[in-house]
Amino acid sequence: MTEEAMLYGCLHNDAVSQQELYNRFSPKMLSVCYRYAKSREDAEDMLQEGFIKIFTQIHQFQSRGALEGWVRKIVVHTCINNLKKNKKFSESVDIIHATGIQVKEENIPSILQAKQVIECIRMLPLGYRTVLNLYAIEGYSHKEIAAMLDIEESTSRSQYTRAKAMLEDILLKKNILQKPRERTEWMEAVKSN
Amino acid sequence: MERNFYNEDFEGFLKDKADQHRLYPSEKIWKNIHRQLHPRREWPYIIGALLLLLLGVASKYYMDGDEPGNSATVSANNANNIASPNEPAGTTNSSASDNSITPGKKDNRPLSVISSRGINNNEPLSLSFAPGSRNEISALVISGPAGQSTGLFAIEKRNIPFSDLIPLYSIKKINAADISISQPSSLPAEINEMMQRQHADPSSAIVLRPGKKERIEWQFYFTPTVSYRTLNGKATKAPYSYNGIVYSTSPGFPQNVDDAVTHKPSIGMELGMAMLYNVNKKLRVKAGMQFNYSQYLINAYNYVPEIAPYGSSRNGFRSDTINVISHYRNFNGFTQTWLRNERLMISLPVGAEWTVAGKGRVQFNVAATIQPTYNLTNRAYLVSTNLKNYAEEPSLYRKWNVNSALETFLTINTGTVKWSVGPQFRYQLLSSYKNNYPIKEYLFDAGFKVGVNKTLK
Repeated sequence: MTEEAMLYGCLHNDAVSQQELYNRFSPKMLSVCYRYAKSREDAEDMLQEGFIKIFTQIHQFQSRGALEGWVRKIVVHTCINNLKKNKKFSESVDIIHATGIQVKEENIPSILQAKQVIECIRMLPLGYRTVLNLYAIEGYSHKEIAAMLDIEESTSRSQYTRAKAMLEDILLKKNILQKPRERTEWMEAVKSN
Repeated sequence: MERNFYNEDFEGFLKDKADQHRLYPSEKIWKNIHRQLHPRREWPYIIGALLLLLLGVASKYYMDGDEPGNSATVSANNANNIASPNEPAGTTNSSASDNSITPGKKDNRPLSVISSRGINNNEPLSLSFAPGSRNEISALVISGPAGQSTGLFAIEKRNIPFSDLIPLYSIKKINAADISISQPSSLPAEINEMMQRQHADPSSAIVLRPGKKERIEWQFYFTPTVSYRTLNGKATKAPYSYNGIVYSTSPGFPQNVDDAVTHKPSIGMELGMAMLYNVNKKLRVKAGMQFNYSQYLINAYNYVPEIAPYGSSRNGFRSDTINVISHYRNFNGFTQTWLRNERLMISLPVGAEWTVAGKGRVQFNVAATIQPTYNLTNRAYLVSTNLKNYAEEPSLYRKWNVNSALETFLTINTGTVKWSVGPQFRYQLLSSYKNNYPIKEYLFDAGFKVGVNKTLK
């Protein structure tokens, strides 16, 4: 089914077209929700809410942009709204000095690298994780994040800096990331040959 | 494993990995979304419930009216208009227009034959009857307000079933044209003896004859069934694409759907009511409403989510493939499971019954009906067109269908009611799924029907 036909069907509340759109985007969008949610179950609840919004607001989609981007935007906003209902979340994004976490390699499942990275992101404190998701992956600016989360722009920046440092540490410990060799080491390696 | 050098484009790295990641939601998420977007129409349930309620009330109304021991108040407002006992039998008193019986139920049908004596002017009386053997009645007794017997209504023809007597005491008003006199001396000896035992004056006997044979019956029935299905169709082995990715089907998969599917029957049921019209002594036509619950089990295997093909849908002049995320495989999966396909249907059966043998209390009959059917709920897993997967796809379910039923049964007349028992076979005439799904499924149920018939008075 082409995207135009699918959109036309969704606009007319056609179940087949709606299921096509759902099948097309739900795996990716569940991954988005999973990065924000506390658990898989919470992520599925967010996904369900997000898709109901998508189908009820499909007439607001402007065909100028990509459909996936619009779908993603609604899903991300649904996730954020869900998180904001949680009091613990409000507290966590306002904490400037989040407590560090001890990362042990065995905590990280070794399945696929993409999954490993997602699991590493999910190990971050909730406030860190949310800001990191919005800034690094979704591409929102700190100003937009501040408006979305009802926090100061500076708080968003500092949360991101700390989140990034913590995630880098996790990824390095897991050997998912590797620090580049110093130039001198490389030169010496060449010389020794 | 690929290693990523730590570089400045940390955000780009995270975004790439996040974009590569996929999670497949559980089946219930789409079901919940679908249910919210397309709420089930309530009107079939409301109409069904109202019809059942209406028919229940109507049946109770008629059944209450003819229970043994029920009584009706008799009053003779004008004794002069009541026929004289000395008049010869068969004559008609045409001036008894004010003579009335006021029973608990409204019924304006005329009394066949009645003569009366001993009913005093303006005296309210109650009517009861003396049962004979085997739920038959041989006499009716009129009692005064204090319970004192004031007259005996003897039935000219002895041992009449209760069902034939119903119009005699459920009428509202006696039709003067139908009143006639019977000589007490012409009563059978047993009735005369009974009247003596009752200390009633034989000359005050009112002689009753049974009314006309009633033609309409209500039937209520329940049928435990064994539900199953037949499948027809061949696998589609053509590659199919989804989101630009082309999937192929192993040529080693079975070709015929019957060879590929393992399924087994399960227990269902049928509950309904019908109105029957006696065309003659042997033929009855009937129409009614019934609910059917049907289910069967399919052998499948849990598996990771996969894209499965389910035929095509028309979109204007273009045909689009229907792809569904499946969590079950038909074979070669992880753990075995039995999927339950179940349906709740409402039908309006219309048909006929024929009495093949028997004239007395026990008769042997055959019946056939055709049943326009609406699927109230439908929970069914469909095998994919390449026979590889199972998934639910509500857009392919047919809402309206037609069933046929054939049955043979014995009827046993107990006097007040008639019981029907016998085997029944019901077969679905159209496939359970729409024509754009190439595999055809026909449900059938075999059961043992137990019904009770009550004559409508």
